[in-house]
Amino acid sequence: MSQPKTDEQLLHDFLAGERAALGELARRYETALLGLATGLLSGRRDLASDAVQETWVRVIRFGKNFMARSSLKTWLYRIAVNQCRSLTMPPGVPASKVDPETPATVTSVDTPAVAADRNHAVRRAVAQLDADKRFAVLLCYHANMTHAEAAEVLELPLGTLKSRLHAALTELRTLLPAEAKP
Amino acid sequence: MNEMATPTFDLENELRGLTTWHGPAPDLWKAALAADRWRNAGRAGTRWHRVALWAIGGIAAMLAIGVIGVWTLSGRPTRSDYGGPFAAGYRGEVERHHGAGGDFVVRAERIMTLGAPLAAIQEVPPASSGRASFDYLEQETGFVADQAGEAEGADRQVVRKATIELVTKDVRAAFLKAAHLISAAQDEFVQESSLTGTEPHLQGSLVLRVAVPRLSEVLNELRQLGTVQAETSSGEDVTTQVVDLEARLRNEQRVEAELLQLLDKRQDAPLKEIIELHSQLSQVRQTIEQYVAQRERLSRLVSLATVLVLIRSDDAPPPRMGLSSYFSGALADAWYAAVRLLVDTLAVLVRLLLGGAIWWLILLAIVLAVRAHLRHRRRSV
Repeated sequence: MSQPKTDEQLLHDFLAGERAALGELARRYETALLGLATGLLSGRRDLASDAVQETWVRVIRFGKNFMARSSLKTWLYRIAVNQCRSLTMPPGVPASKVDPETPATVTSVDTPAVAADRNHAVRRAVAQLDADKRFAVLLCYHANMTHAEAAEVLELPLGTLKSRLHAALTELRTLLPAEAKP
Repeated sequence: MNEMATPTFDLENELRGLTTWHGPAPDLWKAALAADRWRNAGRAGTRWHRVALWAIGGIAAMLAIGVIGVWTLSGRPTRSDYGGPFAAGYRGEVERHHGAGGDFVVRAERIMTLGAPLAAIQEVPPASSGRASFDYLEQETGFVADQAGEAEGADRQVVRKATIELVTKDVRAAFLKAAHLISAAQDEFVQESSLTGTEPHLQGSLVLRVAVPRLSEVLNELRQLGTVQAETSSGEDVTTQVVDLEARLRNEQRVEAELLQLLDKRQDAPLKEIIELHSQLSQVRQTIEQYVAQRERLSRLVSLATVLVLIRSDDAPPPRMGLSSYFSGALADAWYAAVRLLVDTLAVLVRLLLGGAIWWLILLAIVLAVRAHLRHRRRSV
């Protein structure tokens, strides 16, 4: 069984005219990028879709300029994060503006209503963070991302990223209502 | 994954949940591909639109340059047309005749012969020098120098001037021969002469006063002294001035006669009156003498034509001219040369575009076919 192609190989194949290679890249990263974008954009799935579509457009248009100085994954996420920055709402946006259709994370001990309420509270609290802290905390807790990768995406030293993460978590604890805490 | 003191389990989960996409992937990459294709098509269309606009603009500019070039080249003489910066005061206007291989055309101004005014003559038969053109002028107008005085008679008074510019190997010899053309018997004389420079770059100039009946003969002989570079001729009708002068003179003479008669009759008049009369008589006499002098000067001008002869050697550089003349002449030459270059370039481009039209079409067909093939190949992947 042949080894699956690396991300860089897929990009190279796409630039050579193989459309399916881009489809494979999308299969690997589109869902993750949509998730991250949704989080960064306070649950706005429509804006998240715009951000990710624009990310693919930039991959198509500027893929030939990718110099492999970082991994393709880092490059993709960096583009997506920058798109989210350009679409992001200012901190303190009322929760009513947040997409109410975003499903909540349901644990085994919670009812859907409780889970939804807790999720809403966390989202509201995250929305109140400033952009730097919000991006740092969501990237660090993104399923697909290590701290080192997050630092590379945000083009920050690892120490700076950790400082922002610590500050964000501290602020979140003060912002979250008592019932959201365990 | 998380290297710090972890927050509560719930918060961590909630934070992870915020960045999780729930539901199937909407295949946004396909929409991005479609959007990029539309953008490229639009840009190509816009690019073709721009190309078309540039092509139209370029063709319009070339046509405008061509029109300007034709207008410029068809009309105006340049410094080189004047054949050299000789004394402008004596120079008439020389016009280059198009289509005659660069022959000079003599333009006669206000030469009136046989009662008919001579309009500017624009055309001459093919010839290699101004000699034939002047002969043609004589044929067409009936102006023959030796008949000029008879034809005009006392009723018409014309001051004639001519300029002739010669190039010859032996300037000194030509200079001496030109000076000896005058006939002292007909009161002709050399008004000015100068020979400047050193061999082999001698330059000579003479101003000959030649009897009008002999003007044509003298010019013919001058032409044989070298190669004619330029030749002009002009005539100024001073009949009105002469008639006016004669009338004033007669008037003053009548006044003088009357004053003399009065003086004669009033010998016994008071001294004061006699002195007054003498004073007026003196003034009238002075005026008469002025008029007589003017009449004589005009008479000399009319009876003797002025011929400016300019001789230089083949190798001599053109004489230096004034800075302003040089400046305007240089600009005129530069403009002429530049427009000619533009027109020539336009002609080459037109030749290439039209002459190679078939090849341009073949090339275009090849380019379109290759593009279509590449596009088809991309779509099929």
